[in-house]
Amino acid sequence: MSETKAFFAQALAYLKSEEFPENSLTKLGDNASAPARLAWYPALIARQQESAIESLFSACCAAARQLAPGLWRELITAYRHAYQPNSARPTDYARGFVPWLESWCEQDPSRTTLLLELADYEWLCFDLTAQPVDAIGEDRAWHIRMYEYPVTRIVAALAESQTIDHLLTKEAETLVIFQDASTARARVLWPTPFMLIALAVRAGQALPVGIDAARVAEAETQLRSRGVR
Amino acid sequence: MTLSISGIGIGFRRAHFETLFLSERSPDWLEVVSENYLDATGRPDLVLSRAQSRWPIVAHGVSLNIGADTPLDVAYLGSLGRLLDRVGAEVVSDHLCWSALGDWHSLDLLPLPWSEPFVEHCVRRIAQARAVLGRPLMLENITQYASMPGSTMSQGAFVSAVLELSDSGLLLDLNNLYVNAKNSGSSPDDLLRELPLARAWQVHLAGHRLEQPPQSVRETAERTQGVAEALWLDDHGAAVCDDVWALYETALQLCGPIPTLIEWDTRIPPIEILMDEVDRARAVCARVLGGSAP
Repeated sequence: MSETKAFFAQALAYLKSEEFPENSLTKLGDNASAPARLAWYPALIARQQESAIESLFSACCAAARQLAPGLWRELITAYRHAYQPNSARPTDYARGFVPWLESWCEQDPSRTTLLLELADYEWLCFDLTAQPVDAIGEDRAWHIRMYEYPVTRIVAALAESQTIDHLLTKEAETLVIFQDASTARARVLWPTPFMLIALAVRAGQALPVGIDAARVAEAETQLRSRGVR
Repeated sequence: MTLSISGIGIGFRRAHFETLFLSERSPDWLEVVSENYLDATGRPDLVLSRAQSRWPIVAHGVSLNIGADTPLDVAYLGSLGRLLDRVGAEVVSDHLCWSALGDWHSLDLLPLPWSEPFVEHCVRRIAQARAVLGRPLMLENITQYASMPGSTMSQGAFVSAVLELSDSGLLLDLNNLYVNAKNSGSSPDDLLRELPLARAWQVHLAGHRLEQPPQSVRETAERTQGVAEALWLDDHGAAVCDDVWALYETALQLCGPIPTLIEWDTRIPPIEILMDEVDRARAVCARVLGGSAP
């Protein structure tokens, strides 16, 4: 094995925590730093990977830190152990966090769904901002969500570094999260029932029997005037 | 090679997307992290266009992975090439390091052994990247928290050999150099003079901090009967320190006018604080270089 290949094989085993540095890297050749110095690298890599998640899910992270000491650390560590980045783009690594959090909640019904709802909301907002603004009809620029918690108020409170104790009572809210075509930002609309029907029709569902088509058409006009393409 | 940009730039980060345009003070150019704008659509696309309409843009990447031994990522190079075309980049700007191997990506900048085989290895891969991207490479000296096994030369000698043999530029990161000096007990001035300054095409300035060893480091130290040291980390989360400003003066004396970037990527302050750093860099340039723009 060439010197370069040997180095990368040992470095990978070490950085993926399959080997101690004293059993791998330092045996490759002279002049390596002491194992305790080499041991900084897995810690620094973990921090970079965690930062990719925390920067995208800042509300989820802040909420977890308020809910219980050590909860965020437990979550982020478990996610890193379950998944390692397989692309150079940090957002690709963050993409898997919501599905993982969903399975985490499902494993134990006593676990709060608040963090999942916050992460879902944050991911949708991020993902919408990256959608092409001129792709009407190709990429849907809106999503409907019914959250059990007052997610938008919790996110706003966390953005101001406020406590969220008073917002932890379940209080369902239905949202349309959409991309504003002029700024490409994600925005939120609290839809009327007819708006929801109009969006269902947009998504290909038939108009339910007995529903006033004129009011649905009016709701569709309102949606478009609010920027929901 | 002299880049067409000049003066003092700042990193264009989300925290300043709005406030930068409202500030009465202005940098001379902006740096974007390439990976945030690859094949950009939506808001990243709009934001980049808006910034491009006012400032020259420099794309600086973190994922070229020039030091690894798996094939260069063709898809990444394609996306990067389109971004470089878009911003009119003269060079491919990244780091002399490795960051990924196969499907495993560290999302970090990792050091290489400083040795002849790795010089040859890097030179070969730089030629491949240059052929695909049609531009010379400008590679940054990274922070190196540990020496890798098999190292037979200094970092300065390694960087010099790679850049000379590949005819590439040096992105001279003075904060990285300073942090390396602090962590290795070396003289920053000596480390600076070991680098190929004739090839320095751009300078980076940033802040750093001292961090106590994490649990995993303490455990390793205990297991191996070693020492768990605190380290200076290049976290881009503070103002440039006086020692690095002094190093910048020396670098200007040795390199002459050179475009300079103020990096501030964590604990990002209001734009006016960042612009204070820009003004300080301009003042240093004026003092050292007289009328010459950096």
